[in-house]
Amino acid sequence: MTMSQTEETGRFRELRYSFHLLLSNPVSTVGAVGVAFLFTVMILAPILATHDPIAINLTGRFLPPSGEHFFGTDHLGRDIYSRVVWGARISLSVGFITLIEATVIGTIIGLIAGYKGGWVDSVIMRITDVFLAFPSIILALAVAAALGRGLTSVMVALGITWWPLYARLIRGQTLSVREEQYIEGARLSGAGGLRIMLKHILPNCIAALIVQISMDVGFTILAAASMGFLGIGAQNPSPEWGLQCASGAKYLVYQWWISTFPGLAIFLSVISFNLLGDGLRDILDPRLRRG
Amino acid sequence: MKLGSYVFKRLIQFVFVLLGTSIILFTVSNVIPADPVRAAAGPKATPEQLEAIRVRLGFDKPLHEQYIIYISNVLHGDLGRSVMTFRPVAVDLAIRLPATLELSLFSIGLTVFFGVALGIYSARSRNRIGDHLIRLVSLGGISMPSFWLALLFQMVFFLWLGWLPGGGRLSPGVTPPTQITGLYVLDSVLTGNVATLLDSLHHLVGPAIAQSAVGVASVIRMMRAGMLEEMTKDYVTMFRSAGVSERLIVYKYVLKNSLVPVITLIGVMFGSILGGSFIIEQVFQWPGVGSYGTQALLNLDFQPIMSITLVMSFMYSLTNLVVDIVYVYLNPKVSYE
Amino acid sequence: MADFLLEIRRLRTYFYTYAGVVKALEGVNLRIHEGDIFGVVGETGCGKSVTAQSILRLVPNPGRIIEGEIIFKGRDLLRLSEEEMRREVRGKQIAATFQDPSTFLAPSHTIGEQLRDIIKANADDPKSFDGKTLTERVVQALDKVNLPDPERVAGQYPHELSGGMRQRSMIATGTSSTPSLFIADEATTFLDVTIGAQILRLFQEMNRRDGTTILIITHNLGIVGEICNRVAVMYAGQVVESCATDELFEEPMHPYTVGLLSAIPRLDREMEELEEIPGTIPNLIHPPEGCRFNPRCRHAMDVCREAQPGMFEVFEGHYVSCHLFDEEGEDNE
Repeated sequence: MTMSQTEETGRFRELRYSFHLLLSNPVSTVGAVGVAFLFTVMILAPILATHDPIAINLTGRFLPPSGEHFFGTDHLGRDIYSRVVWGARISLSVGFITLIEATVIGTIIGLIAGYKGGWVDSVIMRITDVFLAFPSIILALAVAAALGRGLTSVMVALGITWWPLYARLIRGQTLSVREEQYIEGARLSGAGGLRIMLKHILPNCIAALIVQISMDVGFTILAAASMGFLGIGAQNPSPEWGLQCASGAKYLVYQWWISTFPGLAIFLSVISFNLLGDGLRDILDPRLRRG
Repeated sequence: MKLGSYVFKRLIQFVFVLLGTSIILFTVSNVIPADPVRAAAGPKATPEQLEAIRVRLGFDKPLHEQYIIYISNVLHGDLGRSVMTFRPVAVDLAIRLPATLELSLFSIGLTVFFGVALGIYSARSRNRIGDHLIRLVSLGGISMPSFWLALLFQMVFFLWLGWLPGGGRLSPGVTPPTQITGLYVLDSVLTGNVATLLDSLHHLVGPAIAQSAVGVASVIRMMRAGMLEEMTKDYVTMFRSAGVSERLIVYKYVLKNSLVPVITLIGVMFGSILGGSFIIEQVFQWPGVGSYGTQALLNLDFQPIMSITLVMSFMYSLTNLVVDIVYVYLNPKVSYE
Repeated sequence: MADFLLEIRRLRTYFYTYAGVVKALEGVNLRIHEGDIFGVVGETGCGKSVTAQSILRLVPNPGRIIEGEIIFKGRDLLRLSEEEMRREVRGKQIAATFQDPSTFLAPSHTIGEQLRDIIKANADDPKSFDGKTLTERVVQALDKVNLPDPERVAGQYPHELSGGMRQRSMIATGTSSTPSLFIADEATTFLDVTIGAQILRLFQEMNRRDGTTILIITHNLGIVGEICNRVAVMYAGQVVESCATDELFEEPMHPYTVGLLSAIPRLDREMEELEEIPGTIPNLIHPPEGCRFNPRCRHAMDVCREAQPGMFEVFEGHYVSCHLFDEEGEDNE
């Protein structure tokens, strides 16, 4: 067998072992099931919804949950179940896109900072310090307000708020990997900086990245929903979950279902991702792998 | 004098970070689509009037000069003017800050108390029912949207059970205690006003619990992990071999070493409380900086939005500065990065 | 034979890990007289530390003492309750010091603070202590281990002390109440030779002045030769030979001991070459059948591969666990 072939089978076995570990832990299995369920809802929304999520029906306002309307109707007679189902796409994708932005930007900047070192590193670190000095979503709120209402503003704003975390993470990884012998070897054999970064350093960061992402997915979804609640993100009649909770707040006394179900959807989504994340973290923790 | 040089370095970083945040906010406020000159002038202004106002407000100057003006304004206490309240933002903030401070302090207190207590219990009863339950609940805590929790709280404890008031800091008809600090609980205690004390505490419970949910969960997790890790340390074996009681080992030595990282968590917690105050204060009708900010967001009133962000960042950075110094002071062995 | 201070019989301690059951101690037999400076010597992984942990009943998870008797002053320690162990034995009658004083002392509290708690824990009447008496006792304890300026040391944190001072402070945690048995687990391994020598002198002084029996656990035969009067050699979880120190160096009996001594350069006799023992130490999850040393032993016989040898007293006070000596001595099992 050639070197690369043995590498591949080795890595394949690693993957299968990891998968096996993931499923053997009941907690993360529940998480995995939850996440799979969410993706199903996202993809099959048109099929799963029973009504048009934005269709207003003033004769059927404030209907309690029933066989016809699983989650009841809101103040405009819209079917809440369908709105929640369709809302999955919005609320979840905002979370993902934010993370992708933050990861990409953060990784690039972090790699540069860690690899180049020196004053480039110092400057970048000071900049991340400044960004991290803003309390959680406050910067995102300010930026989104400045950019105007809408989902794009939220995604840009959250991306701006989140990238420093990833930059720091990747920088840290880069710094520790940079000192390894094989990097020196690669450099001596003439490989350029970019090549080294992409081929050697980046793969070593993957594990840490996965851990961090799994921890952050839940938070980004919550952050996006919070901004929706405050009226910054999606606008009416979008079935974004946070926005739905906000619209239903006035009717809490008698029509509790308007706010409760969208909020429940957020809660269950975030818990699923957190459980899955916990499980992933346990797997990738080398101390627990082989006992 | 290691502590001294650390404090010095940290202070410099603090000032630098403040400058940086102001630059970022200045940049953001220049992105705002609404033309501040037109907003100040009104719809019927003539081009000459617009030009005059532009000059007066300094918008004809190059950007870096505008920044200098901005900074000096801030340092003089001029944080702009709100178009909702028609007052200077600084005045609005001064009125509302005590409410937010009181709620934040109360929340932090609750968070630390319950977080540490439950975390210790969870670690000591490791893998038994109590531990599993607490871990489950704390997982739920960090997964729950704060606004949803707040709404549910209102629904259950106010609308259905009537145990807690619907909002505000005091019941209608109750006058606030004599103003010393602006924190009603403290002022009531200082003036011996029991009735107001009880009423303000009654009003604090709801929003404080809703606000501390996430924090408690984080503290529980950190305490549990920290203590379990600490219990595997060698000095625990040493004390056991010397015949010291398990109770003393855990509550004196293990606890102290586990608590120190929680201190840094308090700083972060304060940040998320500040960020979450927008939502919590809105839902519970709490007249603080957060609900002010929410109103400003709804009305797209930009001066307050920017200034609130600046002020909150300042408070957050200051808190982290204090926390970092206290941490280093408490931890005789730490290496200063 | 006269009464022993400590007698260990058929001690078995296993560790239940994910990879399998590690049979760390498989029938350890040991006899220590009062007043001995007793050395337990062997390679890394032979079970000497686990033996010490078992005596104190502080075997860490996932370990468990399966079988055996540990008879200390006539009482079987394995039959005592945890509370009795803590209150009467640990720290008071049997104490220990460990290898790495930087991790075995709490970093967050001063030496004095930690000693105070230990002294209070082992006092007969803890309530009788006032602050002043307690401080005096702390200083006394630090003085007993020959620390210069003990008052100052009491107020310092572990990381503020030098390695030797830290080791002495840790020894002080074990000697504050003058125990009958003091276990020193690799006490000098992390120290410079000169500092280590001072620590060994300290042990001798404790033995002479207070009559404390010292159990020295080490991989260094030199230390054993230096201060121990009796020694037990351990291999793969068992004691293979136990005798007076000079007898060990003059007339080693067990093939492993012989091999060990041939691998060390000696100044007191002619040597041809240094020999090494072929093979490696066995896997303790799947140890060899019969005598655990048989795969590496040049004298291995069929019986060695089938049955574990008992402990034979070859001549007075000299015990060997090897089938070669089956006919010559009594079976002392």
